[in-house]
Amino acid sequence: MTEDIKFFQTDNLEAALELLADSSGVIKPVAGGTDLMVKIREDRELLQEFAGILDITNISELQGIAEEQDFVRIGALVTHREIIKSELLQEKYPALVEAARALGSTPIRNRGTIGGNVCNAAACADTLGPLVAFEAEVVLASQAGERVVPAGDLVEKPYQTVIRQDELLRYFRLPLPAEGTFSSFQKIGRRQAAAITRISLVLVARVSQGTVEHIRIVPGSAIPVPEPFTALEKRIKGQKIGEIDSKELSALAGEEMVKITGERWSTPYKKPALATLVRRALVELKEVADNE
Amino acid sequence: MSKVKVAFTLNDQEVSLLVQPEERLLDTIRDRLNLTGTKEGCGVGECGACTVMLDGQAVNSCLVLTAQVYGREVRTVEGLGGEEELDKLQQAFIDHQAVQCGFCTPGMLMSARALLDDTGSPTREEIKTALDGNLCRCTGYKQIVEAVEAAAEAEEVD
Repeated sequence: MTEDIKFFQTDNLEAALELLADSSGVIKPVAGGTDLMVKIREDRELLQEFAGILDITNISELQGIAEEQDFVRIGALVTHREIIKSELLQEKYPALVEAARALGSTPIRNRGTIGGNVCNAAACADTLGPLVAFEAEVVLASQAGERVVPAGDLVEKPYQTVIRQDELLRYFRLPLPAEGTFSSFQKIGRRQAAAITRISLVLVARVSQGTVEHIRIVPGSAIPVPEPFTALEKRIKGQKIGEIDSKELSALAGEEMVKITGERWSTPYKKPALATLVRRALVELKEVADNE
Repeated sequence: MSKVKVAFTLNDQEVSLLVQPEERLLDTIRDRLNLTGTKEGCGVGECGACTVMLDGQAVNSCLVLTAQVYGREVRTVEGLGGEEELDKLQQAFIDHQAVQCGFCTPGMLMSARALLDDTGSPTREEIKTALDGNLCRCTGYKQIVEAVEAAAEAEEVD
């Protein structure tokens, strides 16, 4: 039975961290709850793993979007709705905004948070790919102080992160993109609305005087944990944008995916699908570069 | 037992009660407060039948812990319109035959109300996005979208 589970609520970060540090049982932090509530419904036994539930939604240190000296800070409690509405994020990190827009449905986007999306760490977590592609850092807080983990190192495998039981994800630190940085988010779901992402792709690039100076290509869902396609990036970096053969390069993305996942039952579908997303993103990049 | 005391505003009235830590807002509304306008469809945030407004925003009440709404404002379909008159959205749903079996209607209305409160004269695209978390198996959506458009226009005139 679940009679012993306790509910905690605080607006004080220190109090929350103290509670999490208490080793007498697992305290589960909950924000929007859009993943946790589904899991509990699927398996009520899950509740027995927790000594308590900690509502963190009122902790102001975990809220808000702000531009600081050389980075933008996105609090763990920022909802997907807030991301979509943020003019700052629209201007600096359009691929992150598009990812938030593509996630779930309106009520899910109203309630679900970027911190929750990342901590839940599903292979299809839409916001994780953009965070990796923008080379975000994740600031984790505990009673021992703060530690910073690159977004690309946060998730070990699907549904498992390096965040310790006594830690809370406090905020994301996104470096300010250099002038003229372009980014694109591409997604395939089974239908347009409320669909779990089957494959997604984030491309962040900067083209200067016709040459690709910076490129990050990060797939989501196609591989267990978002990580950049470094071989593909190497082939594109330093190239003249006009000479890029997007068809050939996009096929390379499929090869790189198989290198990570091995041949699976879904490979014959995912390879060309992913290639298409890469091609679409490269075509967009070319169009933007041509217009400058 | 470790029940949690929770107090919040429901349809402009203060309510206060003891709930289980894992209790869903949907169950509190339906089973304890006897407001059965809010429906349960899928229970996993896919269908939107349980949509209510939380601090003015549409949320799936099946995915919200009641204990989390302490101090917040919840509105259900029973909180639309006044004692005697219907909300403009409700009237528009009737006028445009946007209701068939009716199961999705309370959720649709709450999503639409949240939209109109936020965006005075939404585009058709904005209406579709606002309703993308609400499934309807009868109407084909066309009448629903038209009803929301009509209600938006009617409110603009006021």
